[in-house]
Amino acid sequence: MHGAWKVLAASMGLGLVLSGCSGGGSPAPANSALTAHGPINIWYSNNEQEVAWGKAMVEAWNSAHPDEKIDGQEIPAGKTSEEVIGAAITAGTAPCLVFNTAPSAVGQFQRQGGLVNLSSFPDGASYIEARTGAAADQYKAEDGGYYQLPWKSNPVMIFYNKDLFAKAGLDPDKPNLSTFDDFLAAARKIKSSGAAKYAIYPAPTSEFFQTQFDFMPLYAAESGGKQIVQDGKATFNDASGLAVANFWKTIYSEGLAGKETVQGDAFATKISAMAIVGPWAIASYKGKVNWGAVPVPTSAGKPADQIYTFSDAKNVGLFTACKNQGTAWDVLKFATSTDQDGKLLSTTGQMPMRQDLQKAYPDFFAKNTAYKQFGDQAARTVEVPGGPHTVEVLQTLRDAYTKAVISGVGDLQQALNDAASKVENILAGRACWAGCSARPTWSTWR
Amino acid sequence: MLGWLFSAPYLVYVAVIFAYPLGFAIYMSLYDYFFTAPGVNVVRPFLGVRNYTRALTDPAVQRAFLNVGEFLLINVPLTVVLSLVLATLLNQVVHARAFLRVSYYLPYLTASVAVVGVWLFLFSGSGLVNQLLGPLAPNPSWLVNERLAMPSIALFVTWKQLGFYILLYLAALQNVGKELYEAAATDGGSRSGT
Repeated sequence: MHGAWKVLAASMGLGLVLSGCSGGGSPAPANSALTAHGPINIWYSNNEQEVAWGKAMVEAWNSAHPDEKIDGQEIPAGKTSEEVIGAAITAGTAPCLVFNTAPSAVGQFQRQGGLVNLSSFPDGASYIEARTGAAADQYKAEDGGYYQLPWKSNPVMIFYNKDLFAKAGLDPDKPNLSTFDDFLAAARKIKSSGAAKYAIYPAPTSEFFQTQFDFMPLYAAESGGKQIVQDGKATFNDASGLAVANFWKTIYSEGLAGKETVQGDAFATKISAMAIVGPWAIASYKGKVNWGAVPVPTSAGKPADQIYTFSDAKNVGLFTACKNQGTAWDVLKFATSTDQDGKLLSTTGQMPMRQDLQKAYPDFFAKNTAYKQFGDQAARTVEVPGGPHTVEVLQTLRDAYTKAVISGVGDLQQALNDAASKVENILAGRACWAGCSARPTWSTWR
Repeated sequence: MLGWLFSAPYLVYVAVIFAYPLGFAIYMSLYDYFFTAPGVNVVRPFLGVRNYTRALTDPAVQRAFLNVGEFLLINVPLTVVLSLVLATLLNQVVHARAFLRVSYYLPYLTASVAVVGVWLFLFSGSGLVNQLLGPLAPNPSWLVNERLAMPSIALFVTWKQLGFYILLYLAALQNVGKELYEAAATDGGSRSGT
């Protein structure tokens, strides 16, 4: 019996010893994979439109490159895409390219040593900057490298149901939603007229990413394009942040938005008359909602061409597990070429992150006028703060928002100040130990 | 030697599946540890027990412990009392015995996802319960109310699992011999006492 215990104890000790061997050192140096060519595998998103685009892109590449074929597939099923990608990085089974990498996860993937710095390719940085323009700067890592290629954005705007607006006695063609006061007046009318149960229904749950679809778009607009964190300092507790938080607090306290999780899409099922979402949703509203879209409101009602919003971008990562990174880089350029971006735009309705978007595809925007305003809005988007602490930062803000805004508990300014202080501690490494690890809570992220 | 040989498969199984991961988990808890791609070496500073200190002083973790305490405080006594009472009654009932037993056991057998859907329908803001309560309905509603959310969940779990515990008590009660009841009655035991 004692012998058996010794074996078990030895196994546990082995666990401790073996794991101790992996500490210390620096990231693995770049290798010849950067220039290697051959077959590669890629993952793309699992929504119907993106699968269609992904398959067509792979087919187009494969027919022209029989020696460097792509094996494309949807991202494997998991609780979240990011959890799957993170596990694949650890196991060394990540694909060469993932065409659906959330910017908020990139810092963590980079820290894991899972991403190739695209600036390592001779034309890496220049290609990204030529395609995306100054907006690419938001996707640059602290070391100045690009660990993601800014691919497509879904600039968040206010969608409204024209039929429900007409029912509520509001002008369905020119809805007055540009100022906070106008928005609230319209929302009250929708509710009091019984046109819809709620005026708008942002997800009231506490996942970190929900901040991107209520607070952040309006903060970007109100502040004239500020990120919620700049130079290691939280900005969201300034006057703009307070105004936005107060606006949403009024929405919730007057019952103009629901506080409970709704099953399905509240806007598509007409539970709410408005939604705050990007153009990816247009396909899902087709035939269900007679919709219009306007920029997000601000306190003073800025003109549409001065409104910033959250990008809701999805980017492309090139992973270190890839053996033929030379081919992967070529595929990445092929998949984000003017031709493929045009196909992405027409297939999915999502906006390729090109600085010349509307000029590059005049026919599409002329034929699809509904998308024109999204094309225009795509030029003024704000991204989540970069780095390995993005999830912790967003979660800290979300926790404060849930309590002070949605539940209406406590003083709003104090809640924002406390959250700002916590965020600055996280960024300075004071909330964690030594090297500080931002452990993402992927489990709830979809 | 032969003994070792026979026990080796199990020992290897336990060592690989249980002991090694446990040792590794303990190691990780003492460092600023995160997983990396194969071949990537990073600095993982030794933290001692500071991960534990941080977790135990985190208000969210403390709240989680309180939530579990609140849940147990409601769920355990309610389950014990209700299942004992209902099992005793079911043990005495003569008519529709099978129907009643199945009725109590049904929630336990039903898939949680379906039952949760029913409870959401009942307890959501515009659910049946609030409609019946009218102006007395809590605001915020049950499931988003700071004070009522956990009791609502505890109540749901109690209801969902009640059938199983009733079955356990019922099985025990049916093992009590008839002569014991008769003896108790002879000694002057009341109906509720026996």
